[in-house]
This record gives sequence, C-alpha cells and structure tokens, in this order.
Amino acid sequence: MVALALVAVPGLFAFDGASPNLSGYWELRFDSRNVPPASLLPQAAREDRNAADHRDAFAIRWCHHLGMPFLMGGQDAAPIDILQSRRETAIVAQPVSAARHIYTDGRTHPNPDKYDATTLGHSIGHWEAETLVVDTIGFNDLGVTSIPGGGKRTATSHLVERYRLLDGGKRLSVVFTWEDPSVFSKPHTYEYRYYRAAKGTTARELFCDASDEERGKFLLGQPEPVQAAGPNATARTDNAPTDISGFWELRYDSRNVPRATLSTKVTPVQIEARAQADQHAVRWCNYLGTPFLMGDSAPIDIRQGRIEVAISGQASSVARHIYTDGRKHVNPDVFDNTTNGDSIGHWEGDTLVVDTVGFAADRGVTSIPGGGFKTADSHLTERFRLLDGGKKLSATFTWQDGNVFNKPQTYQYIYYRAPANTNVQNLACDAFDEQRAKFLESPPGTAGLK
Amino acid sequence: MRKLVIPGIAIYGLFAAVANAATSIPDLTGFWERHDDVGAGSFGGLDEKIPKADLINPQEMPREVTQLPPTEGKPHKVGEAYVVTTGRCGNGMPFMMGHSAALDIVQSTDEVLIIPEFPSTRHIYLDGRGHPAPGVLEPSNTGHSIGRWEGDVLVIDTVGMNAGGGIPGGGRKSPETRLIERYKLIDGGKRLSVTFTWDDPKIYRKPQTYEYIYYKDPPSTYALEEWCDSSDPLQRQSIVPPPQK
Repeated sequence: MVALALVAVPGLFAFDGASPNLSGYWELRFDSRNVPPASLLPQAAREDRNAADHRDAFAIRWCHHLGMPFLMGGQDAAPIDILQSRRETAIVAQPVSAARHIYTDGRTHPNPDKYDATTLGHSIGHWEAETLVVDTIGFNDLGVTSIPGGGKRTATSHLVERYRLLDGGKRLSVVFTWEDPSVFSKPHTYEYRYYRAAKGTTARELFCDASDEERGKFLLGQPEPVQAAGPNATARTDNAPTDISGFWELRYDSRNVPRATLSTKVTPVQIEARAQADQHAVRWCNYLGTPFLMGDSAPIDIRQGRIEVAISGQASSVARHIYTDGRKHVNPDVFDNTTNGDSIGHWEGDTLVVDTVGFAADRGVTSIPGGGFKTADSHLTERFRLLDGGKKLSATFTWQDGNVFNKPQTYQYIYYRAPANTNVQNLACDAFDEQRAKFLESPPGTAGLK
Repeated sequence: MRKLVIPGIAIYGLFAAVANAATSIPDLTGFWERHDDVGAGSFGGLDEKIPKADLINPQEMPREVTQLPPTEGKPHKVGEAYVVTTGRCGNGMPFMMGHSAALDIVQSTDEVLIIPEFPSTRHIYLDGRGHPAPGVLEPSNTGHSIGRWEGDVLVIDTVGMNAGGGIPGGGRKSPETRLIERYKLIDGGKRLSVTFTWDDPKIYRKPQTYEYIYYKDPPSTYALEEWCDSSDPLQRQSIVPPPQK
C-alpha cells in the first residue's frame, strides 16, 4: 500500500525515501489561518499596542531583517520557498529576511552564552513519523516581533513547530506553539494551512529601499483622513484623467493601519461576537465583502470601464461596482444592503474618490482594519491615486460610524502593480470540505493531525 | 438587479454610439439579462429548447465527469424538505451565463469582466496572452479565459474549468473541456447574442452549440447581491413537499 502510494505520488517523499518532502513554494490564502487569541501575562497584556505597532512599522520602514514569525506569513501574496535536504531544511521568504536554517543532522542547540541571538533564532528539527518537528530558541527582539494572536518574540521565547503534508501533498499544515515566561500565561498555539503554489512559481526580489523618504513617511506617518462627500454625493461624468486598471497586490510594507478609537458603545462582548461571525463567514464560504476584499493577500483586479470601475478579488467575494456615470446613491429605502455596499465615484484631479454606504451588518466579514466593524450606518470614503509613474496605487480609507468610532478611522494601503501576466481566478471555497471545516472550527493543531 | 428609470436614455445611447464609432470596437458595457421571449414559461423552459448534446458513451468518459462531486443533499426522505439546490454558493460556468439575474459587463482595453451577482467574476484577458500550461492553474468554476476581436465579434476561449454538469442540452465538462463563445451586439446594441460551443472529445461526439440572447438593461440599473449562505439549511431547500402516501 505504502509502496503504491510512493509510486503514485512522485516527489511526495524525499530522496531518502524515509521522510515526506516538504520542498516547494507554499502560499497562504484567505482561509489558511486558525489563530486564537493568546493568553498573555498581565505585564504583556498591558503593553501599549500602539507602541508595538510602531516597533514593527519601524523595522519594516528601515528594511531590518523581519525574522520570525513574520517570515512564515506576513499577510502578503508572496509564497515561502521550502528546500529540504537530508541534513537541513531551509525556508526562504521574499520580504527582507535571512533564510531559516533548520538543521536535521542530529545536532543540538548551541550554548546560549556563546550564541548571538537573531531574528530567526537557532532551529533544529527531527522527524516524528510523517511530521517534521522544529525546535527554535535564541531569538532577539529585533525586526517584526509581533506574534499572531498577541504577544511578541523575546530573548526568552521558545518555539516548536510541527510540519505535515496533507491532502496528498497539496497542502501543508504548520502548527506553531510559542512559550515564553515573560509573555504568555500558557503556551500559545496557532495553525496555518498553506496551499502548494502553482507550478512555475518563481522567487521574486521585493527590493526594500530604506532611503525612499516617501515610503518612510507612509509607514511611520499618520494617514490623512478622507473627507466624506456627504449624503447627496453624486458621481461626476468627467472623463477619467487616468486609468487605474491593473492587477494590484499588497506586500509586507503596504499597510499603514493605526489603531481605531472605538466608541464607548462598543463592548468586548460585541467585539468577540463580531470576531466569531467573521470566522463563521470564512468557514462557510460566505461573501466576504469590503473591506476584506481590499486587504486580501491575493492580487485584486481593478478595471476602469466607461460607466464604472469594477474591483474583483480572488477570495469569496462579489465584485465591487463603483459607478462613475453621474448617478447618486440608490435610495436607501429601496436598496437592499450588501457586503460591498453601494459605491459611487468621481475624479478630483488625478484622484478617484469613492463614496460607499449601504453595507450589510450581518453578512460576510465585518471587521475593519485597526479595530471596529461595519454596520448598516457605516460610511466609507476612499481615495485612489497612482504613484511612482503608475507602479503603485495609494488607497486611503476613512470609515465613519457613530455607533462604532469616536473619530473617523483612517488607514492607507499602497498596492504594488502585479506582473502584467497575472491570472486572477476564483479560488475554490468548498463549505462542505470536511477537512477544511474541521481546520477552521477546531482548536489549532487538532483537526486531522496526529 | 433593479432598474431606476431616469431621463437620459437617449443621451446615453448617443454617447455609446459616439464612443463606438470612435473606437471601432463594439462596446459591450452594461447590464444584460435574458428574457423569456418565446413564451417558454421559465428559464428552464428556455433551456429545454436547446438541442440535446451528442455525448459519447458515459462509460468511456473521464471518471471525474461521470462521478461528479457529491452535493451536500442527502437522499430525499419522505416528509423532509425537498432539496432543490446544491447549497454550494458561487456557481460559475455555465450556470452564471444562464441565470435570471443580470450580468454586468465591464470593458477595458486589456480585459473584459463579466460580473454576476455572486462571487464568480469572469476575467477575459485581451492582452494577447495564451492559456497557462496545463497543470499550472487549478481548475476553477470559471476557468481561464482569453479573448480577441474578430471584426465586431468578441471571441472568448475558456479552459481549466472544474468538472461538472449543467451544460444546456445535457452536456458535461472536465478541466480539459474547451468553451468558445462569440459575443455580438444585435438590434442596434439593444441585444447581445452569445453563441456557446463546448468541445471535449472525451465527452462529446460533436461540439455542443447553442445561443443565448441577452437584453440590455437601462443605464440606471445597478447590481444587487444574490446572497447565498451555505451554513443556512433553508438555503438548501425551496419547498416542503406534501406528505407522501
């Protein structure tokens, strides 16, 4: 039986015939993460989140080595590359970072007193049946230190990862467990399930230029709020001065998202309920909608037509329609609210200003970057403008909603133009895939894994 | 889809005509929907008028075509709600092209989008690219489409679709199936003719061809969202049949 499987799936097992072969490009998609909130010690929980955000943004702004755990899933479209040999497994990412070296030759960790701590730490691995178990210590506190779910990497962090192929080698489960006596009150475990990237995927160099002052201002400055056009806003029929059509992708240095100032009306219970509803929406392949569509790791496709600008993503979302033909918003008494709302746009010089109302409060992913969530009363204003000769697209988002925010929540993305031959396709989402459902509904590391 | 009728249709028509004349490429922009223009009584009735597909012996078809992925619908039991849909949201090709809700066509220089009211947007690349090599793209519900203009006809070539059924006339599709569509404005731009030709020598004895006619909606038409929630049991049923004896 095993021999047949080996023959039937060439490349699934490494050259030594004993261990599964993890080599290849692996990417995260919208339904790849199962990350519960971490249990933090009081002093870690008290740490100013704004300070933590600034610390991470500072590292990205100055092109520091970003390190672990950012390298394993930095919310960008770039896949990681795993190269496995008998004595070592290397993991290479496209954002600024050295490669990870996971030694599988039987060595132990070095004496901590004689080891210069790094952003990646020192990793050793061994196989437990079909699972590669990786043990890492020797971290420093440089680079991007935030850990998914909460907490941060420190010199006393200890990370154990378990890598296992699933679904005949099409997917890779990695279960991360962090322990740190200065951060966590109990081990913090989360799981990513990577998809094997398309054949022909190649490594790209995402050049990081610390001397780029505009980039520096973007990453460490405050996004300028976008003025809402008001309830009687109309689109203008002026000829578009520029064409923002293209494939656009977010990279690791694409986001400037300050924490939102939430209204006192927003309760922790409400926030928790919204988080669970978002998880439910992903698990059941609901239409995810705006703003999720605009922040997805996969490229978006913007097409500027004669009467509208359409924006389409790859995750499970209906395309956005931004009408630029002079119409007003649909009468709210008539409009059935949707996950993307009702959008009209007009040009102010070289900037496309988009005004959106009519969001469905109970459908799709409602979380707004920086905190808060959308309701039926939310009002979104966006400004889109090409930068750098059309190589980049700036999008500033301002959400207004008296039920949720004390002041408008403004954040900015800078998209990079994706290669011209990018293929945007509808990613499969099967709500009745039992493995996927268990992964998203069970505690991390427990669904379908030994 | 809803229509807000506002004055200015004539102006719009003039604008479109001028734009077309200036570019010489037909402008398919707008919302389009099928009508029951033959008194069939339903869209299903319309499709029943399509000639039956000339299929090869099912036993000789690819396994993934004859053994379609199971739906969530368990076998119907007497007295239970009657399951009439698959419950899987986001149906792609060919379902979206025959659906009753309007399709929105957005036309730019390099690409045409065909947008339904659910998440299955079609991307038709007009920039001269070819299809990716086999095995590069995962099969998807809309496949990979490239297009070109042959005079005033937009010709779209699609491959890489998921295996499944639902081809009008009783056809089926596999990731190797090829679909050729020909889009042509007729009746002064008020209607759009689309001829579909499905070809796959492992499925069809001869290509399965049929035509849909779409009618242009007023310019004030806006897109709705056809909500579908796979977690909602009611989404997977439409009627409760009377008790059976």
